[in-house]
Amino acid sequence: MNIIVLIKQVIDVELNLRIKDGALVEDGLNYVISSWDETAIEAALQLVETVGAGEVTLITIGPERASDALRKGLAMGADKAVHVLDSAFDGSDSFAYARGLAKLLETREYDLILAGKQAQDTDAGLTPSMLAEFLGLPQVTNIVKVDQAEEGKMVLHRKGDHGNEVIELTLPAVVSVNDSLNEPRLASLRGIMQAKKKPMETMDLAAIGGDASLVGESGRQTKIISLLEPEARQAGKKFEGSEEETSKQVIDLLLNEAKIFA
Amino acid sequence: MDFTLTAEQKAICDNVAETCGKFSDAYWLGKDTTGDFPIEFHQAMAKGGWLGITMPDEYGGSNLGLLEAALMMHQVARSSGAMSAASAIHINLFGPHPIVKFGTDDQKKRWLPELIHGETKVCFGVTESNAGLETTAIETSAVKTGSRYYVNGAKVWTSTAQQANKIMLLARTKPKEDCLNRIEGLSLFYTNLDRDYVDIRLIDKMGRKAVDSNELFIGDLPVPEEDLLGEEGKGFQYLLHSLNPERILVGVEAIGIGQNAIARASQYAQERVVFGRPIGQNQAIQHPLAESWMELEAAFLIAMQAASLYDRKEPCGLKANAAKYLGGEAGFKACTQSLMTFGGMGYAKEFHVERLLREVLICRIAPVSPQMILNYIAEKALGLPKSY
Ligand SMILES: Cc1cc2nc3c(=O)[nH]c(=O)nc-3n(C[C@H](O)[C@H](O)[C@H](O)COP(=O)(O)OP(=O)(O)OC[C@H]3O[C@@H](n4cnc5c(N)ncnc54)[C@H](O)[C@@H]3O)c2cc1C
Repeated sequence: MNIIVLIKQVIDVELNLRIKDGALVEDGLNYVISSWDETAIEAALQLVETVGAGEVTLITIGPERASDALRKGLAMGADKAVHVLDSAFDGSDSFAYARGLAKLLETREYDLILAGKQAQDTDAGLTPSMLAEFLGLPQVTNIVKVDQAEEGKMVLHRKGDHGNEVIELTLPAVVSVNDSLNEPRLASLRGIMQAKKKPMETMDLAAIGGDASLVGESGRQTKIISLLEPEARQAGKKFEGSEEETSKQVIDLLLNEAKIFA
Repeated sequence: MDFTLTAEQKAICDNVAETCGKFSDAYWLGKDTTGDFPIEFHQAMAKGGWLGITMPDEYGGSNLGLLEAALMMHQVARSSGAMSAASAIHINLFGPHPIVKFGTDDQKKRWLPELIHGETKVCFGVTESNAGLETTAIETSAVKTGSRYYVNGAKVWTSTAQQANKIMLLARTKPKEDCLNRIEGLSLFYTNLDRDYVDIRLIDKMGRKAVDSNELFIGDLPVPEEDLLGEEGKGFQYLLHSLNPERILVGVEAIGIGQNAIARASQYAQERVVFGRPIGQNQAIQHPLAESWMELEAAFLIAMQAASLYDRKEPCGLKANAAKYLGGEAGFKACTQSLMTFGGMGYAKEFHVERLLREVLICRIAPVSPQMILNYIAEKALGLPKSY
């Protein structure tokens, strides 16, 4: 089973982020693979291990530093990587990225495209769906379990509104994963050393046959008009006294101040 | 002069940090309370192949340099595990060095793979109470009868002996009176720590409770001659080869602990509001932390330089000692300052900085004291008369 995994390098959101003059302060930031994408890599590795044949190819569109994310995926065990590196992609939104990815994937052979259900930085969750549309492929989002995988077919559990939907899917397809699907493995030192020797292809826009007017700033369909710090959380309120007293106080607040039942 | 890390070196840092990140503050505080060895952590590091980072690849290691080992140990000590995490695995990196360098093929085959896989644990028996920092004055003796040596004596501070099944042991094989100079007559053994002949007594100590240190009383411990490393009588010289790497590693470990402490303090200083503003807005709080940040960065650079000299097989003694000294002092100052930043809360275990302070002190004391480093720098860098 040949699997493409789409990965995105994102800012490590565990660090303190600061916004200045409408832009993120990039100084001192750390970059990691978006955590859902790590789940997707793990899922791909497990699928190939289970099926017993095939390979895992990682793809990212991103700046120079994004190669670190690819290398990490290779160290986890992926077989090869493609880095689409072109400043023409600067300022892309999900739509423009999906268009670029579709262009690259048009000419490739694969059984399955895996991705995280959303990226840790934008939380948009749009790219896999748009890509599926561009490629004319079926898509399942938010999967939490893989029951069966074989030539041309998969059975998946998707977390839906009213419980887990069990879905039979014909391949090739685009599948996005929920992070409860698995616990991504840590790269071993040996994996890191082997990653050095695995093929990593760097391609610019021309190499993927892309059109500069359809990606980056000119290809985007949405526009961010300003960037603001999230509002600071207000301090909590502490209730003291007996259980009876405090529950009265809480109910009073919920009814009269928060007016949640109004 | 290029200060950038290669992609692999960066990956080593990230992946070690990630592996260590799986072990929480609560995990390490728990170990600090019970004194249980952090076996889960040790196993995770062994599984990732980290214990073999500097070992030859033909025995399952990764054959990387001291620079990579230093980057790794820096991340390990920077995690919540601090010195408990570092000491649980540290000995695997520099301890077997004499085997790699002076062991026969047979010895390497016998000993290295199981060390790399974390199946054997080794302790390091050098220090003795009657000798102290004057290592050549040790009294533990090994006397050969037939094909065996019999070892008698006592060691002190031997870390991880409660866990270890092997010991790297320095013992006198020729009486001091018969030796031409003070570095002669000592031999290095790598042998089974056989509890039938070695009484191991735990030392109750200030910090790093999870990684034991012990007194060893050795009575007629039989050591087969196959367990002698290199030539008889040259043990001290062999040991010297691993001193510089050890100093560099301890230096970066102290730096990592200090950096963890100031990160915690900076965070707390932003959150804690007194007199209507975050305490971190006061320069009396900011400046010492800023000073520590710079000292730690500077010490780290000299440690990296020392490691890179070592890897290029150039003399690195001065820089390695300087890295150990500067790292130890900067790490200690950073931990002290962090504790003070927390005020009373710094003294409470649940904020972890007091634990870091207790642990970072080891990096000042061992394996060589700051005074001895100053003695050495004065003599070797400044040409002043030897004072010890
Ligand atoms: C937690 C911990 C773990 C350890 N683990 C191990 C281990 O696994 N294996 C092992 O072999 N050892 C271990 N050690 C021992 C450690 O290496 C020694 O404690 C260290 O080398 C100092 O020796 P000492 O304690 O005998 O100090 P001493 O030699 O008694 O020195 C005491 C003080 O006198 C000063 N001093 C002595 N001579 C001079 C001089 N000429 N000029 C100036 N000052 C001087 C020293 O600087 C020091 O401050 C450990 C120690 C600790 C605390």
